[in-house]
Amino acid sequence: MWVVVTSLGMLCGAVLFHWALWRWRVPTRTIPVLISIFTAGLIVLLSALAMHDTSQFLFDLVYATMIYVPWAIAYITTYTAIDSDSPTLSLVGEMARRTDRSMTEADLEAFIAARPFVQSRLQQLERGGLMIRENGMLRATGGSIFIVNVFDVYRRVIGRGTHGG
Amino acid sequence: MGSFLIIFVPIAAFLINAFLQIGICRWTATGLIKSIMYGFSAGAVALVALHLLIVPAAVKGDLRDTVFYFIGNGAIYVAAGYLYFQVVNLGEASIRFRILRELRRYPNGASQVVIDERYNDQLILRTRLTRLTNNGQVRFENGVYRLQASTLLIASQFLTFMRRFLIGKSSEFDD
Repeated sequence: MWVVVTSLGMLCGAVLFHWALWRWRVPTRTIPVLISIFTAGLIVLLSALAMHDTSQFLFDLVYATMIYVPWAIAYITTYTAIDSDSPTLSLVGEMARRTDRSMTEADLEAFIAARPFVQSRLQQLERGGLMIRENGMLRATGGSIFIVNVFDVYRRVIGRGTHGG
Repeated sequence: MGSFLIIFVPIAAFLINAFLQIGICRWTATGLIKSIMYGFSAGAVALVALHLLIVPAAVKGDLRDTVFYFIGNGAIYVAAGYLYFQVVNLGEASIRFRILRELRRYPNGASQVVIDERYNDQLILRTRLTRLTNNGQVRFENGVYRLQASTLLIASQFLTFMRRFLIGKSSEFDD
């Protein structure tokens, strides 16, 4: 019981700390700060478990990590949907806001013109070190190509194309 | 040793989830999202069954520990299933991944004009609109796109609320 309650409690604590920090001041580099918050939470959690006298110490460490880490990663990756709009959800949200929940072609063109998704993502790729811009040319880094290739292996396994997007 | 059998439960359930999802997607005409849902559901059933088979014996019949380890195993399984969905979705719908796939064609680099010809904002939004129309969430009638009942609307409204709460904007494109 102790390990489950402590792990879930530390996750909630990290989330609340995140919310409080962001309400005070949003950092420039949000994801690295989020990773730091949840890493610190993990260190505190494992330290608390280490100080708790138990005959199954190793099991508690492993089990707590298995609860905490996937949820921390899930939270951080979900947070990226707050930093960066989803085109589908933006479209759905925009339609819902209109009185008759509809858009004409002209409305759609204006909507698209106001949302430079590709430009925004290119900037994020460059800031994240996944893409290099040199003399007006864009080039993916070796590391980013490797990551994409790994994902494409999965897509071939499930029988889907390597297009996506 | 008995305690480490508890860890086996969510791991086995997740593996059942993943392998079933891959099998359904590869060998049936089922769509990707449905295959993920079916895989997750099957894994959840396996989680409950394995938990009832293994954990009570591992905790020597302690009911409180059985319940709390069920909460813990459930938390591990749901997080793993959600992360798996995100990984699958990244390859399917991520703009960044698509851009990197396009750049992969040009080892010496490509200009933004070349990238825009192959992948641009029009294509991104028209593709999403086509998906929404094909699955009935949007209807196109008399030159107008009209939103039908949409489960995505809940996600859209929630994210907008969280964006306003955390960063004071409703869209990344707001000034």
